[in-house]
Amino acid sequence: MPANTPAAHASTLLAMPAGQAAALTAFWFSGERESGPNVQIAASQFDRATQRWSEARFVVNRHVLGAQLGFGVRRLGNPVAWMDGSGRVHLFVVATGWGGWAASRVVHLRQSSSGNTLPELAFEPLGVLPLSWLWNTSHLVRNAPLPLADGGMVLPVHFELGIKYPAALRFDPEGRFLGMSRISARGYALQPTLLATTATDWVALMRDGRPQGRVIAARSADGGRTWADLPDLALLNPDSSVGGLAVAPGQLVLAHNSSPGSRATLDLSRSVDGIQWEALHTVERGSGEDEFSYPALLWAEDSLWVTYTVDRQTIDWQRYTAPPPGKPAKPLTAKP
Amino acid sequence: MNLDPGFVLAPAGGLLRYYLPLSWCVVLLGLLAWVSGRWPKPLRLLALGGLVVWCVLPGPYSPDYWLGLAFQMPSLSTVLLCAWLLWAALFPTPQPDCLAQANGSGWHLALGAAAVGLGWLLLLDTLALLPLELYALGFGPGANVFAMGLVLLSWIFGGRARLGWPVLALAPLVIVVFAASRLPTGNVWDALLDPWLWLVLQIWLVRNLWGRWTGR
Repeated sequence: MPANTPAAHASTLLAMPAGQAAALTAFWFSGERESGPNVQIAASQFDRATQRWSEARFVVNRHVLGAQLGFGVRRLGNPVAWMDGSGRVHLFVVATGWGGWAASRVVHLRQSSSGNTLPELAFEPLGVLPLSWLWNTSHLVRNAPLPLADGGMVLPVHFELGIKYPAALRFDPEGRFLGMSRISARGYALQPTLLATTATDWVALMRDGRPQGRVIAARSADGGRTWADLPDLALLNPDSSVGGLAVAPGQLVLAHNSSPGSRATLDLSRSVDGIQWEALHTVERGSGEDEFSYPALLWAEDSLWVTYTVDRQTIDWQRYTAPPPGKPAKPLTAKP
Repeated sequence: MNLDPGFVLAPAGGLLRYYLPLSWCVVLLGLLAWVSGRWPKPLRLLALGGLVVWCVLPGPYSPDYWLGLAFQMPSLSTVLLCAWLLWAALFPTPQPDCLAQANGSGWHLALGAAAVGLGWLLLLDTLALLPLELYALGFGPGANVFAMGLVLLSWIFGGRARLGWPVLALAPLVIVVFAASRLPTGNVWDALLDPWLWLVLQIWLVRNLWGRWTGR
């Protein structure tokens, strides 16, 4: 964690290209408190040689961002990272206008440094994504983009102004915005995570904004152009963010809070179709006011990486390696 | 969802960097020009000059920094209307006051009502209360065709109603500028109408309908 930052939240992971010193980069927001005026976007990289995380540093500052955009940014929030077809890192960051998270917009930044090692990593804003007629409020990002075969990606976002609904934004391989489509008609579904079971058959799993809810689901059969609501999953969802990943066709993983009314337990579950899930592993089991939340997943270095917020103060991580080929199948083992 | 990879959505290059401060400056100048209509000319010019100085101050010292934080960018319609107000104030002509002509004209009211209706549809769409994704459609080439249809309709009916040239020229000029620049956001609805203009049009529409109803 950067120095003097008692709060941290909403991590996102990015795999780095083979041959680079870093295997992956993690981004999150950090500062004196969530929605504080000095919150910035922090980053750290996992070094292949030392097998350790680097000392974190800040990479996006709202005052610098405001100067670059030409207008004020009141607060910074969730970041989401993606690498384009040219190897440049893109960041999509929640930036607010007047008001709280309901006045959020999504700022699109792109790597401006020639290299992407942590000491040199720098970003420049490309602009604010135009997502709403109402003064371009109130959309937020949370979960990782879904990579596409053409090199582009689909970025899941959600609208939050009274009602909440999820949407999908399409980008080309160079990161140019191509369009948007609404994922669900329900007014309480937010923070979608996208899972591709085939090239065109996708499942979106969402946080339920109601108390005592379940993980919400929607399906697309045409590669994200149109969506249809599905019945809620059997998985409990205590109004908390879920993070999903398609490791391979028919091998889907979901990180989610499974205890009713609390974020004290963080579990991994697996599925073949994105609808029926079975418990795989408990990442964290706390009690009382403990919170393990906002998970992010990534497959890299033949491992499943999981990062998550601990008590809104730090970002913790776990790494799970699969058994070598030919060995008897067994549950993924943790490798802290 | 418009998924044509060859269809460029965003405004070109550094246009946005200049459009935001310039557009808000024009809007503020136009509004000041309108409210200062009865001021002595030297005072009016002094106020306008002072506003220009304020607008060119850097960063948070300029009003566009805060207007952009709160409201992003005005629509091309708002900017062009305010530019016309400013022009009319700086270079008054003996031609009839088009704003006065607009009050009470049936065709003006119809155009205003259409714009108000569009705003309501866009608001309902923002809250996901429409069965179609209206705002998203504004990015596609079909939206440009629809907007050109609006232009043709305004010419046909506006020509018949002898609408003043500012009203007649507004819609086609917005479409031309949008097609060339994709300002302000690449979405045609943002070019045609912003929430502040929509609110002002509603007030104008209600006042005029009330006036017609009461016979004033």
